[in-house]
This record gives sequence, C-alpha cells and structure tokens, in this order.
Amino acid sequence: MPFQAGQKASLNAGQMARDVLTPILGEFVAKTSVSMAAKRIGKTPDTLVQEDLPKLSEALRPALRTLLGLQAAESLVEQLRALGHS
Amino acid sequence: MDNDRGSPNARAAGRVRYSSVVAVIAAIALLVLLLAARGAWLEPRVWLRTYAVTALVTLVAAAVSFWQVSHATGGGTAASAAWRVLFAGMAIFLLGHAHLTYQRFVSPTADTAFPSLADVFFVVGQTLLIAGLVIHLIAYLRTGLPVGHRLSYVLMYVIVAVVVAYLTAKLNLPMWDDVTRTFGWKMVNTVYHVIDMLTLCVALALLRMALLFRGGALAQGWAAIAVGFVFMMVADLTFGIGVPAEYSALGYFASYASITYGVVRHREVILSVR
Repeated sequence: MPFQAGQKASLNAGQMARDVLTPILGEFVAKTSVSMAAKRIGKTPDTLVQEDLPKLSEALRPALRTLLGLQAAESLVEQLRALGHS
Repeated sequence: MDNDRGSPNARAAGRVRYSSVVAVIAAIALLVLLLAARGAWLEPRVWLRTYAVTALVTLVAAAVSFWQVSHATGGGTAASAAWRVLFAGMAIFLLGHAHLTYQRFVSPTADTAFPSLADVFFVVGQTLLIAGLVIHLIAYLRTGLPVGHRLSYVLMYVIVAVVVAYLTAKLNLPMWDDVTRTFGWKMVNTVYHVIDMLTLCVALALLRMALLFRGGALAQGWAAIAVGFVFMMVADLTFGIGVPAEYSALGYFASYASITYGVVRHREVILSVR
C-alpha cells in the first residue's frame, strides 16, 4: 500500500522500497526482491535505513532490467534512489 | 512525495487501456463466432473464412505487440533478446496463418490442405515462441527472484507427464498403424504433438511464476500469455482428435487473443513505469 508523505518517518527503508515495487511486482515478489537486495548489501530488510536506498536500488537493478527492460528498470531505480535522498 | 507514481494503475487512471479494448473486442469476436457456429448462422465455408480473417487480424496485432515490447524493453539483456525471438516466432507463425487463410479463400469449400506450406511456418514459428519463453524463464531464474516451492513444480510436472503419456498412447501411437495416412501426415502430426507438449510444459512454468506476481501489474500480462499458449496446445489437441473444425478454431482464436492481450498489457506496464 502506498504511503503518504507524513508517514515516511514511521516506515523503514525496506518498507519504502516495497511500496514502490509492490504495484508492479506484487506483494510477495516485492518483499522477496527487497530481502534479496538487502542481503546483497549486507543488511536485512528490517535494518535498512533511508541512506541504504541508493545501494539497494543498485542491487535491484539487474532483476528489474530482466523483468521490465532497461528504461523502466532505470526509472524504478531512480525512484528508489530519490527516496534515499529525500 | 507520492511514491505511487510508478504504479500502472495510477498512470492508467482516467483513461481506457488499450489492453482493455483488446480484451473487449476479442471477447465480442469470440462470442459472435461461437454463436454463429452453434446457431449455424453462416454457411460453414463462410464461417471458416470469417474466422480465418479474424484470427489473422489478431495475429497481426500480436506480432506488432511483440515488436513493440521488444522495442520498449531496450537491448542488451537476455529478456530483450527473448522478446525479439518471440516477435520472430509470432511473425513466422502469422505467415503460416496467412497461407492457411489464402487456402480457405481459394478452396470452394474453404478447406485447407494438411500438411501444407503453412505447417512449416507453424512449426518453425511455434518452436521460436517456445525458445523465446525458455529464454525468458532462464533469464528470470538467473535473477535469483523467487520461483515457488520445488514441490509444486514436481507435482505439476508429474501430472503433465501422466497427461502427455496418456495423450501419446491414445492419440499419437495408434496413428502410426493407420494405413490410410501418408508418412508425411503422420510425421507432421507427431511434430505438432511434440511441440504441443513442450508448449504445455513451458507455459505451465510461466503461469506458475506469473502467479508469484499476483497483485502486481506484471502478473496480468504474463498470466494471459501463459494461458494463451495453453489454449494453443488444447486447440491443436482438439484439431488432432477430430473435434469439429469450428471448435478447434475457436480454441486457436482464444489462444491468439489471450497472447495479444498479455503482450499489450505487458507493454502498458513497462510504459507506465518509464
């Protein structure tokens, strides 16, 4: 479920990433993708912080490219990266 | 900040999706063809020609959609290569159907020859379509994303193996003892049988994986594509066991329509994210 601007502080970064991916990948694959990418950067979904989102998006990039193609994957990666910087 | 901007639903809000238009037109066409067949509204030859043209238009839409998706996904990945192989397969398959449609119009009874040049296109086209789906599956497996419980695949393919063994014993093997059929006829039938069984195996794996994406926009296109290939296998099967031509034709049409819808929907999802 998408979060609102005021809710961001109460959500962890893993949840923020899942919220971006869920409308496209569905809840199960979005959750697993985030777990997989978090593991690749040495974290767990629960310990992710907002500053991890750029790295997390890089770890997700290959899978997103396979599923959505280059441009759509880059767009999602950018969205995740932007969340990390906002 | 609204993080739902990548949502296909958000992007599609307030306008009609092309995929919905495709679905509605296909459903109406299928219903009209079915009612016309059951109610004998049209002479059989007129019905067969009407079906042939309708299916031809659908296959053109499918081929164009495959091309558009291969273009939309960019290049340089196994998945984009898979879309190109799928496009090539559908384009060749389309040529087969075009040849069949031509035969229906030149024959006074709208009958078609079997085997004919069209079967060469169908076999090559369907083989490429299977190859494209296999490349997609391999590319997906390499991402490390979930594929579902191993046991579910074991169960699924045990059932498929039983079905394949039954169909082979019931339909394909006895055919070889039929002295009224030529070797070529038997051979082409057997090639179709093998291709259909491969199609079933690949399409079911695809459908299984598409279900993992349930709730997400990507699931819709892939599920429709997988179901379309299952329909194709069923239609080939009904054609092979001598079900009236109208009903196997409707199976083919349902297959082409489902694949077209799936590819159009997939492209919409990709474009909605960009």
